[in-house]
Amino acid sequence: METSLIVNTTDTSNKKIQKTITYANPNATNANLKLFAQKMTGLTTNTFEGANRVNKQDVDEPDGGGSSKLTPTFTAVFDRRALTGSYTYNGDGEVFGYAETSVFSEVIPELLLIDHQNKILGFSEDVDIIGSDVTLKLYASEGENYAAASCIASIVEDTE
Amino acid sequence: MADTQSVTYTLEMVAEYADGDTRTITQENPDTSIDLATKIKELGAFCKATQVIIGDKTGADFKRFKSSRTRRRTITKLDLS
Repeated sequence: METSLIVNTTDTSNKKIQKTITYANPNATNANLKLFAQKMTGLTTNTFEGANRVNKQDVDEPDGGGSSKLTPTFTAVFDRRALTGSYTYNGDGEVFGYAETSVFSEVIPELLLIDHQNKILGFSEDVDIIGSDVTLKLYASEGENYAAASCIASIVEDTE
Repeated sequence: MADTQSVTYTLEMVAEYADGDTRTITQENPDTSIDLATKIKELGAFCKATQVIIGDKTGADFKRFKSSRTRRRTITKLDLS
């Protein structure tokens, strides 16, 4: 599902302006979308009139919206390594992770994606290390529902 | 009649997402009398907390507004009389 936000405003000569912002979050609440539209308008001399949410759903998706966007929190297992990150699920069995770490490139983080029942959904693969930033891709099993999950990170020292 | 000039402004904000992708959002008529930089940073904090806009390539999380600028366009209407 793709969601767009149409923001309706009028300018200082009362002319109507309609602005469409694509790739709004399908899981965003209407209240937050309205706040976002108002704050965007607050950067301008236009007056906020209202906003509309447009949900676009592929007809191949199951009725009722299909899988939801996954944004679990990234938890570091080892305290001495500070890790922050976020993950998103693209709806196709792939979870993309982005982590920032204060450790350096010889230490490779290993990540597990687990659901709220502590079942392991996937392991990290294709780790790219750019400087001290680590970009990870996690591949999770097909057909799972990722409405709620968390990530556990552990640091695996390179033993070579 | 002489040529007439008018000036319009556009605000461009570059949003950065967790997968490294960026996207530019434009708005007409920025209010140049307010502290736009601070307001845009606040908007960025709001977007990061609520994730109202997400990346268009992988649905990645919003991280911040990386940069922003205002463009000024001067339109000169030529007098053809």
